[in-house]
Amino acid sequence: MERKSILSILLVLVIIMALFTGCQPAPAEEPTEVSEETPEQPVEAAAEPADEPYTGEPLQIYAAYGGLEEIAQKFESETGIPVEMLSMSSGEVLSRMRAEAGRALGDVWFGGGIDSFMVAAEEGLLHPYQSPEAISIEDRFKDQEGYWTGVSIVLVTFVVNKPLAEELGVDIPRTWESLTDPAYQGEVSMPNPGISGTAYTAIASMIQMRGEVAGWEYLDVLDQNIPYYAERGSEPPQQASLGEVLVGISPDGINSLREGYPVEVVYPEDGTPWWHSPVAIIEGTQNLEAAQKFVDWVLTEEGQAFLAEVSPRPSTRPNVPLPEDVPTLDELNLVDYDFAWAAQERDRIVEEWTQRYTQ
Amino acid sequence: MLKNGHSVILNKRRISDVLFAGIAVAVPVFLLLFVFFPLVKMLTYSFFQNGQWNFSHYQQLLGGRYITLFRNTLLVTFSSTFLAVMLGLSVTLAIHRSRIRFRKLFHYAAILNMISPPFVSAIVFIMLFGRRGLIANRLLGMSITLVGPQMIVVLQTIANASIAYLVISSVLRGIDPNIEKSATDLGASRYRVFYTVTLPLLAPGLIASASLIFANVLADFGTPILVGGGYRVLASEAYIQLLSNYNLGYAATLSVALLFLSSWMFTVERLLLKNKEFVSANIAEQTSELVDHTNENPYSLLNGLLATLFSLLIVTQFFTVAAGAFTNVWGYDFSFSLRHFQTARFQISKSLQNSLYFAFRVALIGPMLGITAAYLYQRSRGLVRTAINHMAMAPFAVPGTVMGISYVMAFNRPPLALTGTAMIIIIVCMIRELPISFNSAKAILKQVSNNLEEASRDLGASRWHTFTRIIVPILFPAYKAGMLHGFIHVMITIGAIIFLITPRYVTITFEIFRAVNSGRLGEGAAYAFTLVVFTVLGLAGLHLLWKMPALFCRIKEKMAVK
Repeated sequence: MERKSILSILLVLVIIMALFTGCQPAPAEEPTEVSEETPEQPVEAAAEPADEPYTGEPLQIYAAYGGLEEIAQKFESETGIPVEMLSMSSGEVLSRMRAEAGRALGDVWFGGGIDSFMVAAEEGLLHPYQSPEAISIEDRFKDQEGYWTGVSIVLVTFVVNKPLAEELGVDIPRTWESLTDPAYQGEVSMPNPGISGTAYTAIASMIQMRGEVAGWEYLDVLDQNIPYYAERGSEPPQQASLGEVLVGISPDGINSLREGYPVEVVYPEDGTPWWHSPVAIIEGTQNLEAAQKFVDWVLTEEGQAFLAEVSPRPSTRPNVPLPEDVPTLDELNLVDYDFAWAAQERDRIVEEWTQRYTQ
Repeated sequence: MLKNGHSVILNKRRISDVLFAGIAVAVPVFLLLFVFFPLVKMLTYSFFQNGQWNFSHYQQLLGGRYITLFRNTLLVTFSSTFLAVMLGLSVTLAIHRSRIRFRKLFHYAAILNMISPPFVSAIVFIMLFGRRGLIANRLLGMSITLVGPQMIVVLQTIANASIAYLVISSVLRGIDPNIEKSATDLGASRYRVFYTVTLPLLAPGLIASASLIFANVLADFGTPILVGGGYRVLASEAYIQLLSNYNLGYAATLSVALLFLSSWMFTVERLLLKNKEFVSANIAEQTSELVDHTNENPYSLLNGLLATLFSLLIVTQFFTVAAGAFTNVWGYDFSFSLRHFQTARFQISKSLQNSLYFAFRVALIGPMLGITAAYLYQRSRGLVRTAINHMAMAPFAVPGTVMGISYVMAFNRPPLALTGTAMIIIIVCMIRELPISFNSAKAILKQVSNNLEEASRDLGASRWHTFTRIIVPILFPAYKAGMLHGFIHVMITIGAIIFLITPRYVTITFEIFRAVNSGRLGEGAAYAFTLVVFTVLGLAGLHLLWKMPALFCRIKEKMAVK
């Protein structure tokens, strides 16, 4: 017993020593591992290799975007700049930047809700950059002072479970109007707009399209079909994919389809709410040049095509070849959305919504 | 010769005195710095805005809607805590006080349960028991609603039963089986033994696990958000205020309210345990893992049934995740496929390395902090004692996200510019794990009482001697509980480090979160499966480390015999 305890103490001490002298966690992956990952995308000789091998720190990116791994590898293979990505919702990134108060822990903020970027730009948390590639991007998709630039269009869609529709004997809803049909009672899943940017964009779109009075009347009726409001944006597509509900109001519905679930993705014919998912450089970055290269790259035609490939969304740059399952902007009836108004009225609308539907 | 020996003893004593003084200063300073200081920062944030005093957040908190929030919180927390402790007790008794065959398997199920990553469990529940779920719908033809407060309670009970089991069983194994045996020999019925001997001796464990779980449920925002169906509690409200309204001050205020509730619970714990000083000076042999059949619990059948159901559920859950990882479309297309592993292979290996790096460090260093804090707590009096207790228990009451934010606010500039380093992630995990080892060490020390130490010293042993030979071996179960829980917790943690992690230190649970949140459930299952497998391997490794001293002894003895 006695000897045992002495040995244990010794062992623990040895472990502590090992711990404090042990190795650091894995840094970036070796650049050599990368090229085999994307064989269908031949690395063109045209894509100019960096003049000299990149020797700086890996680029640190906070992202709310699909296909991050592919994007990181593709960017690295084309520019030689290693990338470390961290997936984080834009609300989290903003809260964190505020808490850090001027000490940048990353270089690039990539993707997410446009309102967070607007707030961050206002508070001086972003570093302006007029990318030469941004010239090709429509004015409505970018900030005039270059604080952020839209990369792709996020579309608010209905994810509809097909087997469940058959089971229930109902049609697949194609418009916002039809979604209020009593046949869909208890079958529509939507997140709380106070939490989800998708849901807020959807209800603000309804109010903008129909006007203040009719907009709220519509939401009153829609509320009859919604059993409860989800507390996270990813719940509706998940519930619809698994057949817990018929319809999930969701951004990027194609993801559920690509995953292989028996769903149909509907772009509401009477107005598809949307926003542009931006890229921005974080103020105080230690790696400005590489950050600018990343911004340039995601805005090039090749970069945009690649993004659309791995994260199925329409591009902000015109005439970019899109995968077959991604609709072009011309095919859609996009809501004529006033972002400034929506940002201004957010508190009031969310408050009113909370009063009406959660008490 | 004699003189020399004398000076060696003197030197030893001097070294140990310095060491003790050092620990007695270092641990409280560490706690002040990494528990108290960030919380104070947070507190100031709750009523100090733009350089002005501002109590609007507190006024908001007292408004009508928040009565509902408080009621919801208390309802969910009390019922989950009660049920989880009962379930944990049942599992403990089924393992240690029954004759059920293969009861050791319950132990592994309880450990496996702790490994299940939070987001995935909820999805598995939907797949099994949901509207189109395999068991409830296709097998039994039922249609159950899987959202709402009852679902929060179910998931919380299952998730926390393992903690209750770990804490209660570590206390139970410290009880001398001879006490129960003597009671039986003196003619008491099994019921009487259970109610008048076993249960009272277990009381510190029951109460300690109850307060841990209470704080745990109180602070958990994930489950209510996942399955609450709009049923909001204080913790989820704080999280939502932080992430959607970017309202740091209000989130801090809500955290203060949470802190108030949990410190109230700990006060109750103190009061309950005050009059119940159950002293058992004879600490049972640590090695006696085999159950003594004479101490069979009267409710073995019920315990066995509950433990079996619990274990079955956990195992089914694991196999469902495995199925998701290796099939084409989780829950829909069951053909074998490795595509999820292929698409994510680099990310899996990188994030796994990071997770293991953090987990091993926290698991091995962390419990020492908790144990030394508990030892200091036991030895000190008055204000210091209260302060240590509160600081060591506070981390469980603070929602992970808020704790992370408070760390960012406290440590983002010199002299303590720690944000962005691996160190701060390790520290925050250690601090969050502190209550587990602290509480189990406290529960054990409570049983021992100071007499044992006094006796040892009266017999001439030095302080250091007493500490290493008596206290440390007694505390090993607490170290083990803290180590295992710490390892597991760091592997699956997300809330506390979400604001501290940088792209370099991405962990595997983050990747699960990301995959599930972007609708790639299969990929999420692949990550989750990898996580479970490597956590099991890691735990096996830690167990091996644990067994090593005994192994060495045996080898040495064999050598000596030869």
